Amino acid sequence: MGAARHRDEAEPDVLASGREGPGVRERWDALPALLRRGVLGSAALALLAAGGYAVAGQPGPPATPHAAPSASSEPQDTGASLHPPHPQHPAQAARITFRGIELGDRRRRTFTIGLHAAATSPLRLTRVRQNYEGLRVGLASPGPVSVRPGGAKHVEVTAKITSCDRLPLRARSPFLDVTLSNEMGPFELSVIPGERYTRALTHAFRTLCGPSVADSPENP
Amino acid sequence: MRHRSLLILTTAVAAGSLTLTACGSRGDNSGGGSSGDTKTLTIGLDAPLTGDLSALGQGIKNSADLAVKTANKKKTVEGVTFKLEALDDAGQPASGQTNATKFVADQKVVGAVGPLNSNVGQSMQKVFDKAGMVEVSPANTAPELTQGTAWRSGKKERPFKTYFRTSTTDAIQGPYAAQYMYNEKKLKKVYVIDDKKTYGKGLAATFRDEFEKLGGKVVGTDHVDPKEKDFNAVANKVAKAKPDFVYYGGEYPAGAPLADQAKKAGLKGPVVGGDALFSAEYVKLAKKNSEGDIASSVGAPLESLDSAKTFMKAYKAAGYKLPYEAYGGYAYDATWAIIQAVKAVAEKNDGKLPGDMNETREQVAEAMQDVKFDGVSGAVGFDEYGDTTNKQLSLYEVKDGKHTPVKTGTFKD
Amino acid sequence: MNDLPQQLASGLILGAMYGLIAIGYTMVYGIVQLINFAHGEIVMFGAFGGLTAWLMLPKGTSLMLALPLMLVLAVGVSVLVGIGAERFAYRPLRNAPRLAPLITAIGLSIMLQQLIWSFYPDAKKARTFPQFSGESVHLLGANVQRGELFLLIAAPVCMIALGFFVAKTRTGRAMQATSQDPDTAKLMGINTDRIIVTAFAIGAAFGGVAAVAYGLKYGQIDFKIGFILGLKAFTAAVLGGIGNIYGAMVGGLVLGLAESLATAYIELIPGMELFGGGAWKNVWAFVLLILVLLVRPQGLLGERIADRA
Repeated sequence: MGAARHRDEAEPDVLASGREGPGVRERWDALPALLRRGVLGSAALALLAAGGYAVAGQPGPPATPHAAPSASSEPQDTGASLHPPHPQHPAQAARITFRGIELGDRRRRTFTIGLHAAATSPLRLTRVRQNYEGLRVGLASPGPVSVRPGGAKHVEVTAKITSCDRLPLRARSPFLDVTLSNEMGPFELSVIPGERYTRALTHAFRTLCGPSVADSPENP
Repeated sequence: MRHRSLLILTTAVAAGSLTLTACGSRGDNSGGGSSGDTKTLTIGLDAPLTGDLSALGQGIKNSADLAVKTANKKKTVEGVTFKLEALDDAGQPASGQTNATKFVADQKVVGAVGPLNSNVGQSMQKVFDKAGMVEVSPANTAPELTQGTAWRSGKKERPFKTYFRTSTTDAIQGPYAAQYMYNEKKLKKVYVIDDKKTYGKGLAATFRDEFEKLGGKVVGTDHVDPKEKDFNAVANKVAKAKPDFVYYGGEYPAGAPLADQAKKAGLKGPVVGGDALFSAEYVKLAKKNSEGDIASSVGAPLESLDSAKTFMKAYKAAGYKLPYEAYGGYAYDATWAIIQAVKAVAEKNDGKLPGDMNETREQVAEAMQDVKFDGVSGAVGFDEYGDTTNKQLSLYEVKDGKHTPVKTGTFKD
Repeated sequence: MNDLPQQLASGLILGAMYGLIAIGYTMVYGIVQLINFAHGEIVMFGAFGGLTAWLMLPKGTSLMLALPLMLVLAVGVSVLVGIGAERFAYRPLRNAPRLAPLITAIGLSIMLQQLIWSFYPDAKKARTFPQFSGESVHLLGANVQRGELFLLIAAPVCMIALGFFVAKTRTGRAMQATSQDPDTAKLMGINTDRIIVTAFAIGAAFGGVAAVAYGLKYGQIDFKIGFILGLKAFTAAVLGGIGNIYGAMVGGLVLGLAESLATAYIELIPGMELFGGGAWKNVWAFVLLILVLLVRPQGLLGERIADRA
């Protein structure tokens, strides 16, 4: 490139204006300014273009034509106004809400969580858990609970505190992991019932684990 | 000679900037076309189409474009052709506001989709509200946008009647990740880092709060400047503190190098963050060091939704160069919601839209409150705050270089 | 404090990179008293040149083999852009008021950024840069990444070469002469135009080396990296005494160390918890700059140049 030549030649004859006879450098300088500029400019452009071409040609993302007009015939059956075909994914079909907590045996430190389960397509509720250390949670009835559209069910969940020191008393969003299954297979959905559950759970923990004065009740 | 050089320079600069403007305005002016007696309505779109977050922004733009094309194809609203006008905010609140002003001034624009960043959304809300024009964001997650600044104390108040969103708030993202890491992954020591921006700071704060209440230990905190790429000093501090994992409140352009550098410095354990880390770009930039990292994001995994499968197929068929990314489905739904609102207005007025654009805008904003349809992300509808009624979120873990869903939750607040 | 060696190492490595880039500011300023604010973008072009070299090679080429070619192309592109900037943007303004070249520099840097943004394939977001795989190397109680080793070798080699060049060669001495008094130098038969071009070229070449080092270190480059890098390197040049080549390197190292140590230790000082950490490191770096300039306005290694017009 022209630039490189500049540098290589520069060293010996920086102070060379006194020297005799035109070198390459002098001859180059003698060329009309317009020509020199043109040569330099086109050389630079050629380099840039070559580089760009090499890059563009190299790893390039799979060459997909950009929004070919013919392709737009395809999107006409796009989801938005279609009813999703049945069966729905369990996560979409289920509506599980929290009803309340009933304290059970104080000595054994148990309580019951009431849930309300509705569904827009048939599914079974096979398992409930809450992953706290110091708390064991499970379905009250043995075997899965079947929920059909239009037939909402109450689901009883029993909980037993196994260790009081390990319980987080003021966590903001505790949740239940509910395993749902239908033709699309089992799916574990976290049900985060919100503030009412948080308060009820904290209340249950406090009552069953004796008064802990240090933790003054506080609503987040 | 000198004059000539100057001339050449000026010409070069002028030519260069002209090329650039040409690039900028190349947007999406398709779909307009010649209309016989049909009316053409523009839907504005604002997202970061360039810069660090452009991967997410381009996904939003393409998905909105797909919705508009679908509506025109199917003649969803009789006698109305929709046109998408996309403007770039580069993630800057000031640019977002300028774009909002532009949309409002354009008498053809009926409503707007966007933006991506919560702080940009904040700067646009007022402009749209004054004009009575509806704005539906597919990606803003800061709770205060719909529930007012006092949402944390439980005093929720909707600040702007024309603002809606199809994504859920991040109020629950931090706590959900905290519960998962503490109770299921059994990782109990965390180092919390944020980028000091509206989104990142809020997210890190909600995470930290919940994690500490669960009994977890925060072994250190730090903040980074998201404009930089060198986080080695912070990474060394993290490695020294030996946490089980790192929580980062911020976006992937800084999150990815931070994760990379922290793991090189000796961090054993994943980097966890919110929906702004949920991008294929994150994996690409942090390379092997992204393996095992976890990100929460809004909604159920699109792959698990039947409604989304049609969307993914159509998106592929339309041949967009870039993927739809984290918010594509929500952008499609946001655009579709505006189209549905326009349809509702047309039906109310016996198939004709009001002649006056301001009148149309107000009626569309009103109609938006009652819009309901089965969208890409599930059932779409809006509650009294303008938040989506479909409140779901998911956790994803990077496995073999891909974000794989590990857990999905549904919540009520 | 057992992570002190690690933080020192990180600071030194970062500082070496700042220093290499700062050479570009200091050379140009030393000769023509011009602050070439587009230098960060010249570095950025070099980074993309290096990436282009890597992409041109067949997939699976070992990085060790590719590195020389990447360096050549990175330096080549940087030098070309640097010389072009001098020729077409600065030379026509050489006798114009000081403000004119400054504004030109800002315009030039925006133009260079946008050129990459619009024409380099897929450069609207960050592009990944190849990195050395393998474990980090343990050196004096600190872990150094493979990619950073390159910087640790390249920076001293470049500095020694430059020192030799300026002190021993004819061109180097001509540069010194031009920097002392351009008019007299011209009368002595020195082609000052060529000296100026050489200064730009050397600065840009160092920028090209730093650009490859940046890519190897962080594994990603984008069209905006030049801004922050340029700003930091300029700070380093001023800190070390602008116009002095060793000052540039010293300034870079001091700045890198200051950033690293401020991030790590300011918050350990009682009462300063709020002002520590990564978000405040730039503030501390500039506090340091102001303190140094209060005591030594000419910078750490700078000389008083009171008699220069």
